[in-house]
Amino acid sequence: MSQPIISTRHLSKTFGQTQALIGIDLSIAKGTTTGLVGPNGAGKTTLFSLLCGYLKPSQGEVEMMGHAPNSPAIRGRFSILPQDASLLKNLSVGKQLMMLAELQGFDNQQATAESKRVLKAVNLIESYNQTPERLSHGMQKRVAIAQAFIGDPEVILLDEPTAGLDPNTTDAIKSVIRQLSKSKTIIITSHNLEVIEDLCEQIIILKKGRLHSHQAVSELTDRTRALTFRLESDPPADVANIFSQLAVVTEVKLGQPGQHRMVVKYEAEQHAMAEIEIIKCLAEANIAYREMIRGERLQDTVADQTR
Amino acid sequence: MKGLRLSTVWTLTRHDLYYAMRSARGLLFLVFFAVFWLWLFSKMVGGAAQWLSNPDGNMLIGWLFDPQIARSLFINRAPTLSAFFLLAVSTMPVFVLFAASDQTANDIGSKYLRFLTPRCNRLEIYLARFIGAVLLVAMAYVAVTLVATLISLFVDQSGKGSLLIDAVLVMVSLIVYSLPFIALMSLCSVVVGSAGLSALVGISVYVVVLLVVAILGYRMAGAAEVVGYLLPNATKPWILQLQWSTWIQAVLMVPLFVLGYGYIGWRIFSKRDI
Repeated sequence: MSQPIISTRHLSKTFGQTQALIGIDLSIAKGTTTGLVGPNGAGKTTLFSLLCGYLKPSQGEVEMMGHAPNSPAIRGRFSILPQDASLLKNLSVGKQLMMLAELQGFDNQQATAESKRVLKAVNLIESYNQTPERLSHGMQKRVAIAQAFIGDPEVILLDEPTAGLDPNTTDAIKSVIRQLSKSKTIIITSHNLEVIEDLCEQIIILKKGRLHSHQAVSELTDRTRALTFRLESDPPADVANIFSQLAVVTEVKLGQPGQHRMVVKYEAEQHAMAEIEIIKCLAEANIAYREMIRGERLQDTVADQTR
Repeated sequence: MKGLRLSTVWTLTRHDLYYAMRSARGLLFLVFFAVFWLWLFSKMVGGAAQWLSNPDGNMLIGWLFDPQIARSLFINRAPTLSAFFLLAVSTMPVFVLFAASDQTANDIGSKYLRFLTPRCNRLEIYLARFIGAVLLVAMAYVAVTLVATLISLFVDQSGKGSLLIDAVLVMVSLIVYSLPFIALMSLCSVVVGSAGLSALVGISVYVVVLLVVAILGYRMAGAAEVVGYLLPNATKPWILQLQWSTWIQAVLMVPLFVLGYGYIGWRIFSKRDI
C-alpha cells in the first residue's frame, strides 16, 4: 500500500453510555477512492465526523495528511460534504459559495469565478442568485456538493453524495466524482452500494462500531469467480444438488427468502466453460431466471457480511 | 493562538456582518432598536430631558440611580445627551443580549459550521463571530449617539465644544460597556443550538445572578458585592458617571470580563461536537 493519507489508531467514540466506535485502526492510501459502509448504527457517520474533525475522539487519534483534522496546516487541503448540514437561509447560493471560496484564499473575483465553476459542475448555475429556501432538497444537496469541489483539495470526504438526487443528477454527480478520483483521495459513505461499487476501489465495512473489513471492492465482487442469478422465485433449498456433478462449482449461496437470489461460485481458472455449464444445469433443473450478472453484487456481499 | 490567521478572521467577520444585515435575527434587532430609539428621540426633540437638570428631576435620577450619577450627568452637561446615555446604558442588556445571541448558536444547530471547519479553525470562527457582534452593536450605538448628539445640539443650551467631547465619550463608553455583554453571549451561544435558546440562557443567567445579589444584599452585603462582579454590568456605576477617573477604572475592568467569559466560551467551543 502506498503512503497513507488518512490513518486512525485505536479510535473510539462514546456518547454517554453508548459506544459508537470501538478501537478503529485504519490506513487509507493516497489517491484511492474508498467507500465507508455498514448498516444503520454501525458507526459510519461517527467515523466520518471524527475524520472531519466535527467530533472529538474519546480515545485514539486521527491523522489526515500527517496532521490532526483541525490542524491549520491542512486548511483548504481537504473538503467535506456533510450529510445533514444546512446552508444559510437568506443568502443566495452563489454568494455563499463565494464566501466559502474566499475562506480558501480566493480573492473576490476568483471566488466569484470559482463559485460559478462548481455550480456548473453540479448543473445548477441557473440557481446562482437564488436562496437555498427556494431550492428543492435535491438542489440544496447539489449546492452542498458544489462547495466540496471548491479549490483544489487533495482529499474529499463525501457523506451520502447521491442521497435524495434524481437518477440524472446522480449520474452527473457520479461522473464528476469519477473525474476527480483520478487525481484525488476520496472517501464516500453511502447506503447506496451501487454507488460505492461504481466509484470505489476500496471498501471499509463497519459492524456494530467495529471495523469489520477493509479490502478492495473487487475482492467482494469478483467478476471471474461467481455468477449471480435473480430467479423467478425462491430456489428450492436443495438447489446446490443440481450442480453436484459440476466439479468446477465451489459454492452455492442463496439469498434471504423473498430475494429470489442465488450465487454460484466456481473455480476462476475455468470460468469460460464454467458459466455455460452452470446455465445448462439451471435449464435442465427447470429453474428460470430473470437476470444474471457476473460476479457478486456488492450490496449482497456486504449484506451477507454485516447480517 | 497557534494557527490563528487574522486575514481569515477578518473575512469571517465581513461575512458575519453581511449576513447579519440580511438575516431575520439581525434585521429584527435593528428594527426593534430603531423603533425604540425613534420613539424616545421623538420625546427628546421637544426638550423633555431638560427637566432632568432641574432640582426635582435631579433628585429623581439620584433616587433611581445614584446622587453622584445624577450630579455628574445632569449638572453642567447637555441633559438630552445625558438622558440618552442613561437610557442607553440601562437598556443595553436587553438589546445586546438579543443582538449578540446568535454568534455560533444557530450555526451549531443547523450544522453550518461543518462547511466552515475544513476552511478555518474554531478559534478563528469564535473570534470572528465575537468581533462581528461587537461591530454590529457598535454601529447601532454609534448611529443613535450621532442622532442624540444632533438633537442635543439643537435643543440644549450647552457649549458645542464640550457637548461634542461628551458625545465622543458617550459613544466610546457605550461600546466599551457592551463588550462584557457580548462576551457573555459568546459563552451562551456555544452551549446551545439556537439563537432563541442562547438569548434565553443569557437573560436567565443575568436575572438569576441579579436575584442572588439582591437576596444576598439583605444579609451579606460584602458577599453580594463580590457575586455582583460576575455580572457583565459590574462597570455600570463607573461608566455612568462619565468622568475620566471612573471611566478609566471601568475600561480597565472590561478586558477582565471579556477574557473571563470569552475564555470559558472558547474552552467549551473548542471541545464540543459540532
